[in-house]
Amino acid sequence: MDKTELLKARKERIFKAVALQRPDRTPVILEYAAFAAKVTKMRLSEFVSDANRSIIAMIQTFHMVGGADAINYGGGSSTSALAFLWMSKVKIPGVDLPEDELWQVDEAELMKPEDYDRILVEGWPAFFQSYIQERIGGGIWEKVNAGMQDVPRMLEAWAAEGIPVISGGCVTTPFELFCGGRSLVEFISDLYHIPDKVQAAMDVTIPYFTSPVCEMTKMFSVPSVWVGGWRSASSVLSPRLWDRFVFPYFERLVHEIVDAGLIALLHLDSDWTRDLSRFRSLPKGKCILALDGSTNIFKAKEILGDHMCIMGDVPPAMFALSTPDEVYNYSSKLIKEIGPEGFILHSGCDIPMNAKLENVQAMVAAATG
Amino acid sequence: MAHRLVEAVSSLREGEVLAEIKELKERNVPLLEIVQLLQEGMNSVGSRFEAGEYYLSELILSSKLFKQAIDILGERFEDQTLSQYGTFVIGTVFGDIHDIGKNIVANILRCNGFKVIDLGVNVPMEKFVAAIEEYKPDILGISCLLTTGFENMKATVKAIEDAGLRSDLKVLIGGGPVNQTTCSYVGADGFSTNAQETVGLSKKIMENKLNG
Repeated sequence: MDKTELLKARKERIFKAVALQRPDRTPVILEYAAFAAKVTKMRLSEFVSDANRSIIAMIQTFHMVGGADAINYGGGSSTSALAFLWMSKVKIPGVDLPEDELWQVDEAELMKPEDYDRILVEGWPAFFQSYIQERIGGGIWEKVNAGMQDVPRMLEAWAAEGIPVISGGCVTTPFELFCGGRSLVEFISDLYHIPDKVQAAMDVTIPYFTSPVCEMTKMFSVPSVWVGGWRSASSVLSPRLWDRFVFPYFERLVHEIVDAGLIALLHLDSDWTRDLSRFRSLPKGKCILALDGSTNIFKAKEILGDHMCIMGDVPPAMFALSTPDEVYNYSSKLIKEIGPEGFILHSGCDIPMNAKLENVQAMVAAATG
Repeated sequence: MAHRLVEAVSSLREGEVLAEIKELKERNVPLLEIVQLLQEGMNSVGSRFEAGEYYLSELILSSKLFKQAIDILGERFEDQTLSQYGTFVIGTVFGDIHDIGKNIVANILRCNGFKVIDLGVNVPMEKFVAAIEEYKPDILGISCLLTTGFENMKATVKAIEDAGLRSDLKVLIGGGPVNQTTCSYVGADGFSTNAQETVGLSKKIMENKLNG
């Protein structure tokens, strides 16, 4: 099969799973960044600072694993995107951290309570622009713009190898943004003490989220938008708070993405089990529910199996510490119990930097035989 | 019937808690008695968390409320005064700068009657060893959010063993990615993925210690 046919066949396999149909076999998608640096023996400081080399390392890693159907996102230098999604500074290897230490969000109370008023007065775009410049700094806007220039080349490089890139733009809810900027403890306190103000700020913020992301994703002909959730998980918040500050915004984002003709890839870290049934209100056969090993994936199958494609969830710790047999057996169990329709085999969150290559290969082998 | 203050803390009625504290203080109720009532309220919050009635959001709020209440009492309480269980040294392992989860655990432990020594984030092995020598804790808690921290936690436990400090010490690990496999790999005595679990495990360790 030539690379163009391979690309087409792999995409079709994935799209069938998303549409809740039965593909020829369970598709398997990889998601990693720092793991590629480790496997290709590249310093993390180089990986985050050299877009070209990081893409080459990621493609090389994909081939070293062998047999998978797609890569979730194709670029390795995601540190600027992290700063946007968390409204926080990110510590970078070779700059703020030793050369081979993983980049990390440096969570601090950068956003102050009075910033909710600023959002209401100035509007979200103006506030966010100045917030990033004033509080995050480090030329993030310039880095993001430069990163955008690399996207077409990055997508071409993957396509030339017959490997689909699944996620285009990424977006999250106002909850996650504010929570990152305010820091968890202060933000939770805001939800109790100034709930109306927080909600008002969320309401003026949300209209600006999906439009540019969907436009960009469509322009690059990538099939899905990554919609992230982590601190807004059901295990963190009481139902009263979750119903008011999380799900309505999540629901709106997903509907807008699907209405734009794209797949919503819900990347959900932490435990969302309590509220799985709520996800039935999202468009049927148009979303991917990506779980990280904390949400009960078997319960997700019971509740949502006939409604949305489930993706996951080999836990990060398993990649790092277990044997290939253990990974293979767990992956096979997922295929048997969650598949064959509407299931994509995947790591829980991304494949960690210290995953053993043979464990990632074992996951893929469970799908490909 | 539970004291009004206990019920107010348990139900997270902030205004009522603070008013009650002021009133008890004006009535010259001994401060330690008031603290005990606050801790009883915190116990109830913990029970409601374990019963699935409360979530992390309520645990966070309760620890903030506890601190506000202690501040109103206007005395500078040493951890030793507030503690009834034992000493807990905590830190995020080197190579990891995440502190939110670790801070929540430290606060909830304090509210539940532990003396907590917080070593911060990115803590080198030597600092853990030195803190154990200095504070002679009953329990050491090592936190990490990254799977790359597993090796560093293992090395830390080994350094503690090599320093001859492991035999009287219980080591707990915590953080999003830890599980029983991680616990065995690192050589810890237990693991938890949330603050209330850490409180439960720690109290159990102290009860076992007291009962020989």
